Formats: sequence, structure tokens, C-alpha cells
Amino acid sequence: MRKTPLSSRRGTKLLAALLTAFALIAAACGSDDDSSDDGAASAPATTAAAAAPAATQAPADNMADDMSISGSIDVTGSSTVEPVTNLLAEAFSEQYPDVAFSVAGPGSGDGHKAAAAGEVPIWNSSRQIKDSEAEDINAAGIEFIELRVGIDGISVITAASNDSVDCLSFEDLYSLVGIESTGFDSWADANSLNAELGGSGPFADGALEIFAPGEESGTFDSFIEIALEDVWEHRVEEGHADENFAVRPDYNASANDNVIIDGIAGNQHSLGWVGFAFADENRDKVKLVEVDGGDGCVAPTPETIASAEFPIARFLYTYIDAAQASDPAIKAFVDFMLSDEGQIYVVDAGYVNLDPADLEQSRSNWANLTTGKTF
Amino acid sequence: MSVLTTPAGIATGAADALRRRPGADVAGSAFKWLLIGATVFATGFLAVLLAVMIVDGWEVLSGNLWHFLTHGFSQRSAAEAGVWQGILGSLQVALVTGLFAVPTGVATAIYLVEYAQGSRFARIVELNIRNLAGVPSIVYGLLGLAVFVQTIDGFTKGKTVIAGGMTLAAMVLPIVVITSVEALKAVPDSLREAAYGVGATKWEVLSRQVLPAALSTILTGTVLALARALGEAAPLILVGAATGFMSFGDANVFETFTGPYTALPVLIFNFARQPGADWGVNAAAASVIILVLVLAVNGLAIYLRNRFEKQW
Repeated sequence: MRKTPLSSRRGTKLLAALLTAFALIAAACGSDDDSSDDGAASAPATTAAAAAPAATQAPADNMADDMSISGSIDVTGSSTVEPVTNLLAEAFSEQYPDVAFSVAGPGSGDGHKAAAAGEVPIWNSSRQIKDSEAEDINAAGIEFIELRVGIDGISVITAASNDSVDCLSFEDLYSLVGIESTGFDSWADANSLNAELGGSGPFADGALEIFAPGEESGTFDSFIEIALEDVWEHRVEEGHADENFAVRPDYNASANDNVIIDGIAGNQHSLGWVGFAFADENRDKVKLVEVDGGDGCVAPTPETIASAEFPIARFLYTYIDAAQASDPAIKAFVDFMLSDEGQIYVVDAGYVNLDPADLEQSRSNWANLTTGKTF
Repeated sequence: MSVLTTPAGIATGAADALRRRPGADVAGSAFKWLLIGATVFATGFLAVLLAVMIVDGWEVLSGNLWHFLTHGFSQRSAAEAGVWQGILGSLQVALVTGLFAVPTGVATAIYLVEYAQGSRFARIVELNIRNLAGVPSIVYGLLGLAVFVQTIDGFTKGKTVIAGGMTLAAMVLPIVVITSVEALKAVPDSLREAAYGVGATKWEVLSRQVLPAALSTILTGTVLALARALGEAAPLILVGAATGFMSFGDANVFETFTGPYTALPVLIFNFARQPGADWGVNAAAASVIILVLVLAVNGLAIYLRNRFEKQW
């Protein structure tokens, strides 16, 4: 037992060495691009989160004017809009390297909740804010500015190898995925309902496998609202359909769009819906079905989505806490987002630009700090 | 053969057993092959998983590894995106987790074993801690969001490395306590009694004899708990790790602990949901990297065990 004190001391030393190693790794990586503030390291570590006004500790030498903005920008909300914000943030960071960024995409509903909890200055949504969500946010003493940033078409998809379907109407979609289609295992099962609704059937038969986003997704909400709601409400009035659920519960729901794409690609007679960007990226695996919203069959393309000819399209929104709109970093970022250059990233992310009138409305909302729902 | 077993009798018996052997012990050899099968299945499963990840991620691992390791997330293209922020974030979170979970967990274990041993209170606490070890990690994420992010945001500064680390600390705390309790219980009582016998105080017994003796097992358990924390994505996403683009801005090393962060598993989640097959390559490559990281940590655990292990 003589040895124990010795090995105990060795243990302490080793632990200390490990902690030091950790700290060194962190230091080596963290000091990547802030070589300018050697002095700051010796000052007591204050918090980065409290957005320091631009005036503090801006070194006078060789700093360009716009680089002096610092602060932190935290964005959450829709996973559909997240890629746009990512691209914007990346380009913005190159111009303003001192601004700290954190972009997340848990979902539109989560974004509005985080806003009501006062957690974020900017949040995205792939649908317009609901009245109940707006009330929750206002109840927390927060006023928001509403901006439209782009348009996303929702693509109805099947396997690339499926030749038996080219175009579906809203009635067809309801008879295949609406609440009354619960239990339909094949396309032929939907034929009698389809005929009753005056759809384009009968369908060629095949095993009906449905892959689509789950309830937490803005894509799910928007698809119901645009494609299913009219037919569904009509059926509810006639007493045929459940008034609480528009979509059949027995389909393969996933929050991961790649899972949906793989499911669609792996089943010849599959059917589903995803955002246009995902479907467009995967044209080798899935077929983008034309949709008839009452004015004939239209294929989803950036042009038909922007012109609203393609019937299933939705606006993408960004919301800003009005009280934080004057923060220099946030002001510069939103200015950039609404600039002509910023709007290019909407297209880069796979979406479609707003028409000029909507963009103008967004810009004036921002310029005048107009709060509340404006669209 | 006489009743009293003679050496000759034993020899005969042994010879009988030898003669009986082929085919006689069917259950025994079946059991052995069952065990071999289970082992092959378990390791084979792991090998296939590893092989698939390496093959899927090969494009990045072979050609683009340095860029991948030294660049942050980029939405522009899969080829531009990297994981260094995730590696850094994971190490920072693990550090904070360790700082909170290890002292608290080990102290709890010392109290339970050395001070409250056998009491009803100690048994109830220990039972609850064992149950806590089975709670899904997402529940700890919810706890972290409510407590560390929202309630004590004065200390954690909201959705920061500190809050993430404390959330994972809460998650691995039961594991640290349980392994430390077992380590302390494994120290023979004769050691304590001998020390008391030569007049040592309780403090001397604990600090000079019991803790050093249990150190290797405690360290091993602790490092394994940290390895588990390294692999967690779900609780971190809940408590605000960035899934998309992030940057530190002008934060210095210390300020990065109270600023935005991400972690390797969170990046894998992000890569896996991006459109396009080349992002899948990134996800696979990042998975290999986190596996290497976890293996390194486990290797450290084995090294520590061998370094400090005591034989009785």
C-alpha cells in the first residue's frame, strides 16, 4: 500500500494534463480568425451573447467600415427556409466576420414557440403565422415584423419508373391521401371515391405506398391547406369525412425529406409530396407529377411556381422581433436578405423569387418597421 | 472400484470421461457454438456498419479529408462543407460535461458508499439513480431546455456550450454515479479496516487508501460516460445547438463557451437531411470521424485502467 499516495498524485497530474490538452485544442481552433484581438484574451472573459454596441473595442486601424459591426444573430424555425438563411448567413459572414451566427431548423411551429419564449430575434416559417401563434408572441410582449422571402412549390411525386400517372387533380389527391382513403392499399381502391368526387380516374392499379412529411412539418400543413382543404371541407359538410383530420393516418411519415425520396423511389406505384427543391434535386429518382388545380395540368417549374400557374405553391416567411430590429447586426443582416443580392440565395436554395409587388411589400414592412400580419 | 477413491480410481474415472467425450456433451458444445454465433453476429454487425460508413464516406475520407476537418458548415455545396466546428463543439461540450458530471457524480458515489452505506435513504437514492440511467436522452434535452436554457439563463447565457454541456452532464450523471459506486464497493473492506486499525482518520482512509484504489475504475466509467455524451444529437438539438450555418464572430476562446455552437452528431443529422447524394457522403465521413473520436476516448479509458489498476 506504500504506493497509493504516489499513484494518487500521478492521477491528479494526468487529469490536469488532460484538461490542459482540452483547453489547448479549444484555444488552437477558436483563435482561427480573430488574430486582431490579442489583448482581449487577457481581459476578463465577458459574455459574447450580450450584443456589444459596435463602438466598443473596434480597433481603429485597417478595419473597413462595415467590418466593425459585431453582435450575434440567432435564427430558428422552418427547416424548409433554413437553407436560404444558411446561404445568406454564410455570405453575410464573409462581409461581417465579427458577427456570430447560429442557424437552426427544427420546424415552423417550433420557431414561433421559440419567439414567444423570447429566445430568438429572427425566425423562419414555411407558412404564414397562425393567429394563435401571433397572440402567444404578442402576449409575451413581443411585436413581430412579417416578411415574405420567397416561394416554394410543393411537388407531388411518384417513382421515376411509374408511367401510369402523369397528372392529378385536387380531387384525385383527396381520393388517394385524404381522410376517406384510409385503408386503401392499391390505386384501384380509390376508384369509386374518385368517381364520386368527379376526379380524373379510374387509376391504373398498383400497390399504393404513400411517403410524406409528418404533422410537425410546414410542408404537411401547406399541402392540406392548398391541395386538400377545399375538397375535404366540402366532404365534411356533406357528412362523409371526419372534421378533425384531413389526411389519412396510415402513411409513411418522415421529417427527413431524403427518407421520403428514397421511399418514393423504391416503390413503383408510390405517391407523396415534398418541397420543390428536394423533388427537383432528385429528378433521377422521382417523377414530378403535374397537378390540376382546376385550370388544367401544370408541371412544377420555377416559372410556373412564380407565376402561380402551378397550383400548390406557398410563400416562405421570415419574422423579426421588432424590438431588436435596430440592433446593428440584425439590421444589416435583414437589409442584406431583402437586397437584390440577397434574393439570389432564395433561388440558390432551390426556391423561387417573389413577384416584385410582394418583395416591395416586404421591403416596406422592414423599412417602416410595420408590425403584425400584413400579407 | 472401491468407495474410497484411490489415485488409480481417479485415473480410471478420467479415462472414462475422456472415452465418453465425443458427442456426449451435446448441450455443452451446442451452447459453445451458440456463444460463438452471437459473438460473430455482434462483431459482424459492427464491422458491416463500419465498412458501409467508410465505403460511403470514402470520397471525402480519401480525397478531401483535410478540407473536411478544417472547414465549417457551408450550405453552398457538400464539397465545401466541413466539420471542424462540430469537432470543436463536441470537445467543448464534453469538457463542460466532464467538469459538471465528474465531481458531482464521484462525490455522490462517495457519500452513498462511504457515509450513507446501507441506510434506507442511500438505497432509495441508488435505486432512483439506476432508473435515471434508463431515461431516454431526449427527456434530458427537454429538462435542459426548461432548466439550463430558460430558467438559469443568467448563468448559461441561453443556448450555449455551457447549457449543452450541463444537459449532457445531467444525462451521464447516473452512469458516473453507478460506476463510481461499484468501484468504491469493489475496494475490499479489509483495506479500510487496516487503515483505521493504524489510527487513520476517515478523511485519511478515503483520500489515501480508498479513492486511489478505486481510481482506475472510476476513471474508466467516467471516460465511457463522456464517450456516450460525445455521440448524442437529440438533446443538443433541443437545447439549441446550431443545425445550420454558424460562426463565432469576434468571440475569443472563452467567449465561444457562451456563444453559438454545434456538435458532430448534430452535423451528421444536418448532412443527412440535405438534398442530394453528395451530402450523404459527408454524413458517412462525419460518422467515421465521430467513431474515431469515440474509439480514441475509449482507448484512453483502457489506457487509464491499465495504468492505475491495482491487484489485490
